[in-house]
Amino acid sequence: MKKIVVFVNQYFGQIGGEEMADIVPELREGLVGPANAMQALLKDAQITHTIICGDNYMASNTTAALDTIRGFLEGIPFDLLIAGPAFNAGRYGFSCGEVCKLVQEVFQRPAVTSMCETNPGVDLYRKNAYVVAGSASAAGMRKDMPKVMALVNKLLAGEELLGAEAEGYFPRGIRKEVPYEGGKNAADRAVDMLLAKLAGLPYVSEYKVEQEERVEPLPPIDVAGKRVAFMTTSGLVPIGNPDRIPSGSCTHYGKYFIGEQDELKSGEWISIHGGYNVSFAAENPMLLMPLDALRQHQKDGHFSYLYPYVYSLAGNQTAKGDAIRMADEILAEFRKDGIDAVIVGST
Amino acid sequence: MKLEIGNFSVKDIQFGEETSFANGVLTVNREEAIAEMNKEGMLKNIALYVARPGDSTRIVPAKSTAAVRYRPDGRSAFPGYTGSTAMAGDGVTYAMDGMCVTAAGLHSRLGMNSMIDMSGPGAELSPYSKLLNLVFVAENADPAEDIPAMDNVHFVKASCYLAEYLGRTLENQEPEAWETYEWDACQDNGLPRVAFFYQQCNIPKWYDGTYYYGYELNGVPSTIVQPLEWLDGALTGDGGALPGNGVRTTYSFLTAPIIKRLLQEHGKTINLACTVLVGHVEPVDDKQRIANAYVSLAKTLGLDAVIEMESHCGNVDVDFMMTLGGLEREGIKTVGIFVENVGRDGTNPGKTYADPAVDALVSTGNTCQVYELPAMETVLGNLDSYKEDPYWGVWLSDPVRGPSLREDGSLIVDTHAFMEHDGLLGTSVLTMKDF
Amino acid sequence: MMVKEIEKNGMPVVHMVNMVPVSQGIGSNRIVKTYGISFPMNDPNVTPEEQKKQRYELVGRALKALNTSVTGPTLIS
Repeated sequence: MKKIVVFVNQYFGQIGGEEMADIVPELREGLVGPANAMQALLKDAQITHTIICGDNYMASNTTAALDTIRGFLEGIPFDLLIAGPAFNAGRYGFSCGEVCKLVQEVFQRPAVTSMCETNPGVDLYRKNAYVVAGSASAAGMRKDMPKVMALVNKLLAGEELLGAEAEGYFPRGIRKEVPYEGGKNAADRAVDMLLAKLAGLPYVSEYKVEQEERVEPLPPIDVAGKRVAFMTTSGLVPIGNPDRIPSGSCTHYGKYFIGEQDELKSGEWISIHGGYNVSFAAENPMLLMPLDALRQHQKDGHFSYLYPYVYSLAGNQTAKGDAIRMADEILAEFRKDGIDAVIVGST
Repeated sequence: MKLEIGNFSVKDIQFGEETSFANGVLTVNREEAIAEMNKEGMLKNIALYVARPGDSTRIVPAKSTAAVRYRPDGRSAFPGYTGSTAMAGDGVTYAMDGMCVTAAGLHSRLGMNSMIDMSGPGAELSPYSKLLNLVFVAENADPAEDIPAMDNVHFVKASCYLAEYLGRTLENQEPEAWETYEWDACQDNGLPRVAFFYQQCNIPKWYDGTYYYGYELNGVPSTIVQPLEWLDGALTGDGGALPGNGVRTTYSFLTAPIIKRLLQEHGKTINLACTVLVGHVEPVDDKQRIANAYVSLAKTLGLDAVIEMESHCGNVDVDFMMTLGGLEREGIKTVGIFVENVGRDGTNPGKTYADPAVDALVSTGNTCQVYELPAMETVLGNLDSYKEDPYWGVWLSDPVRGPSLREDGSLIVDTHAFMEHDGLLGTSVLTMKDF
Repeated sequence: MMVKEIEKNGMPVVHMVNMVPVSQGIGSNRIVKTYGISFPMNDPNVTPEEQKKQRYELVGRALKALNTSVTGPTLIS
């Protein structure tokens, strides 16, 4: 009889909502929350324990949380871990992903979770776990569960997987050669693909070039008399990093008042970016945000108004989903203030 | 132009008094065959064997393969190569279906050799395990030629001489089945003009690769070849330019599924304008120059589309992608056929370089996929050469997997080790999937 | 990616960055090259007066880039 451990957050662990998001990890014997539905679909396996951890605690104390959880797991015999499902919840996706990664890397056992395609956790963790494609919210739990458990059962039985698409999880960054279904040879596949392409019919490439989307350039804008904003991905933060911006993989950003100031003073700002030598910036924060130069250009009439805050994050391995979401949020703020153009400073 | 291939189905091969073909059985007189195939005297210690599909037989190092052809009109089967130069690609030729001539040796001096397993998991990884193989094992007559550049050259020629010799048994016989291919240039029927670009590994000063009427094509950026020429012996090879998994031999050219399929479509859904043997260069700037030249060639030929086959994996990815990307940007539609190298653990990007404009690709597998193979009862060649000689896909030690050749003769190797595993001329029935 | 998202949503934007090829690869349309990865807006090895001038000139280039017509990822110098 194989043994399973389940990981959930404070909400699915039936402890509480946002107000309980800071709880430290706890180990419960038996089934809690979604573990019940999971057990019903398991073949020859028993969920023996449920681990619960608050989403905020995991986000802000990742090392400590994982250490505790690792300690739990070291004391339990288990064959596989199931986390979540996390649906579209970013922090929960992060939690599930980190726990799965721990299980696969440290314990070398399979870890399965489920997330919605747009959950930033997908891109971050699909290579460290089996992330099954799931619904956007808990309303999809009943639809998602059979898919997750079918994969779990296959993994427990040591059955050969048919590939990410067939099994319903996001590609883990591994490719293998397999027989082409139906035995169609490469000549026929190539010619059929060409005939489809020539006829304007759909075809499926057997290899997808990872394409960076191109955005149509906007027409030029003369910002004289216009309102300008500056934001940075250099990790510039007030000393003390009050918003606890992480050194990389940012899922949130800071917003810092610069008002009518015409310089940033050394000693008041630092950089927390984990990807470069931040000592230069500590000495002169204007290396990251050239506030004096911006003010001078404003005085010289090159633009009329500078947004009174600087948005900042550490653009170090930002997950694509997060980058897009954060950019949208910041842009909404700029629009509220009638901003006409944005300068983005990077490292 | 019309090429008619009269096929004779070979059910078995045996050795006997008189080289002949009757009732589906090819009988071979060893002495005469050896004398014929070695008429230039470039090989020695030649031994002949038969390997049948399903046999517990491993052929290694396998160097080349050829198909048996005979021209009733007296023309050489491989004009310009084994006989005097003459035009190929028209008329009647006879073929032995279901068998190949396989050249094998005792050593691999340039890593480009591979193996054929006639049974077991390895049989799925090479097209030759499905055929009756008339195998010769030999060595270079002159030890001074036991160098990388000459490791395979004489074996290729000898396999063609042998194939031609065996073909003469078909004289005055009536084929059982016919394949007919018709092709004409400059069709004006409104169908899209398509060409097949066959990429060679022919960097200047590299080892011998493809021969066109016996002319070696190293350093030649493009050679236009009439499609029927492929099926009628104009192309032979491979002289050592290609890794064994990616090798294209005399046999591959004569039987290329991509050529046959395109010819079948010619006049119906497409106009097959021509085939072009395109090349591969090393310096990055040259890659761009040559890719540009191919785009210009495609426009000169009035092409609407190109199917291009990539030679192998590595920096050649850049040549390949630059060409296809360049074609797409000129409005010429492309389909690419290639093989990926995702590493032994499957996590590397399959191509070192890619152009997003290239959106229609056939992938025939992973050059690094690891397989475990049982020992075989019979080895034709020299399996111990795995311990001494360079081979792609074979290793002496590995902390997790151990050495490729185990004490008991079983193997753990990657797909580089299998002859023509990549199947890029269309034989591959493998693809790549995300896991 | 944030630069692209901003432009995609109709807001003019310029990217001040050191690793220009990466920015071009990702697809920022208007790019101004900065002094270094760890010191974007000026060279820290010159006098403070010179550094101030460098910052002014670089920001000037960014404003000019906003007013430059481009057809794709372009480094504006």
